[in-house]
Amino acid sequence: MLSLGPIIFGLILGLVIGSQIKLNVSDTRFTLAAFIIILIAGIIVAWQSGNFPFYTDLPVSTAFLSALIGIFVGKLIFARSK
Amino acid sequence: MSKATIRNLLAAVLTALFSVTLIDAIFNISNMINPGVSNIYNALGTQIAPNMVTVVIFDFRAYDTLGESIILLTAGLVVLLIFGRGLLGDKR
Amino acid sequence: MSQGSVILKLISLPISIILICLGIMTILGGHITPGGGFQGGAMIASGIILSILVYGIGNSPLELSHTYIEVLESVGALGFVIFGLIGLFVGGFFLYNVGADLLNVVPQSIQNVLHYPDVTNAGIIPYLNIFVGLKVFVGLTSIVIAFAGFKKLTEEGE
Repeated sequence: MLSLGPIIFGLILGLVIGSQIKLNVSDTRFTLAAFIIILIAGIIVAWQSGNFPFYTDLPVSTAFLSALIGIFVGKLIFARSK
Repeated sequence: MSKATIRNLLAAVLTALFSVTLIDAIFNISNMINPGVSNIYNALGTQIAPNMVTVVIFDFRAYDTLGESIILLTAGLVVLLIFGRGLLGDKR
Repeated sequence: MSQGSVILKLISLPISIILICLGIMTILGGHITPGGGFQGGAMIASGIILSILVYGIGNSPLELSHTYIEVLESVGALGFVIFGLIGLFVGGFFLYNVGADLLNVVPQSIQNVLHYPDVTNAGIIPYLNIFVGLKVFVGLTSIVIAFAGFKKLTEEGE
């Protein structure tokens, strides 16, 4: 059975921290492809770290993945361009 | 730090270690220490959470952790007060 | 004071995001593995400090505004104290662990409301970890932002 605690609070904390990402176009431009590569790298890190605090439901670390998704959602919703 | 100071410091530390070991071997002071609340912590700790360090910090001694976070607040405040003095003032 | 080569600017944003996610993972596993609030908060702060050092304080992608620092520090301290007051009104002692009460004075309905949805039964320990993590992260980052701002101000003044 899936443990809901890390998923819910990982999303909330990722939303709180992801609201402060601001990308400015005058410096190195990060396009959509760059964020897809960040997502793939995050999935590889979550797979390699295993089930992090000894939970027995999934072989990945659910707190890491929900924090990553929370950062992306926070950037999309609360984004301010400079 | 001159050579005489380092030699005196090393001699003091080694004398202290040797004397404690000698008195423990003669008078057996390891059995005179009162365990106190350690028995209560060891008996009740693992039925709350598996990590004994976090149980002691955040459950049995949670009031000291509140004081620790006030120390962090005070440290940041004093740094900004000494080096700042009205130089940075933008509210974004 | 940016360290400005192109390779550093290209690689620092993905590494900062992975450091922030590792810090959140360490905070949320605090009642089972070694780690917890203080350690996870320092890891999140190190992710943001990397971005400030590489890009400079003017055009860093991860930049905290003044209102954000004030609000998060207050939320961290007040959350801790409010959980203490809940323990005082329900259990009789300040910062009483309402989830796993050792004196059996808390009714079962209040225990079910505050239960962290997990297989363990740790009470209020995960919530205290989260609040302390937020407070440590904001405190450490505000000092680095202040020093970077002072250095930029003295460099521009000459």
